[in-house]
Amino acid sequence: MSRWFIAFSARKPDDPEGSKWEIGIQERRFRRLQEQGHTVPLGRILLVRDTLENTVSIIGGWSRPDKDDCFAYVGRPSRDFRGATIETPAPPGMLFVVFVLPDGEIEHWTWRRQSEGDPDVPEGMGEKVIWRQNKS
Amino acid sequence: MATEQELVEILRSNPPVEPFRPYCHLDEKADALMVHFRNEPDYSKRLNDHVTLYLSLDNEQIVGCRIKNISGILADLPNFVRFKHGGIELAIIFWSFRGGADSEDQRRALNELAREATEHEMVLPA
Repeated sequence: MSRWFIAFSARKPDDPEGSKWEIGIQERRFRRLQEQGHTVPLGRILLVRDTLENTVSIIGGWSRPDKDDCFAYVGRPSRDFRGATIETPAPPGMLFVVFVLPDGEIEHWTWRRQSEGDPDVPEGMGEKVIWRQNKS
Repeated sequence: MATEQELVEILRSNPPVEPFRPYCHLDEKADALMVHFRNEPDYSKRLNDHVTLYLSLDNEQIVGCRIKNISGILADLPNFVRFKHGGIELAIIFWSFRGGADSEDQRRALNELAREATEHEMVLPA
């Protein structure tokens, strides 16, 4: 049985062969959003899946000195959610970022503007790109 | 990997318990304080080394923020603030960044965060 309330398969950041590891959302995190009526991030759990299935880059660390062992998965979903079920087109010029703790727990997820010089990396997060999709 | 259909079913069978109300949450594992004033489609934008803003995709208004490395701030807080009844108002956290603001945009954003926190009577989680 999975330790996650919602489990996802993601590319292992440190494996050049591209093997997968299981990451996920803990039940307490899901329940908090549910109890607070916070429907936008709830709906965007579908974008977490989109991003982990079609990752364009993986960033090491969260641009914080004590978070070097965390990861950020970056994707470009074609859609967004304004609530748990209200689907809309993705905001233009944005990337979706899934922040993951070292043990695989997904901590939060959000849109962020893409960098001007590197469209596969979110603004202000380009210091440590550890993997990017091969476009050839 | 959860399938799209499974995720839709999880969301459908676990609807919101109550309508949205502004809230803040201390995440000790991530050492971050998450603050949400409104339930609106948003994106994130870094304000400074500690604060990331959540801005409305519709009108760029602040709908919340994330404060990183919050444990150090909370550890220092009793040296500056004492309270006798109830909790500490969240707005004081934003005031702590005010002196380090190096642009008018940063000062405006911090003031807006403090104003929203005060308006919604938000207190730091115990």
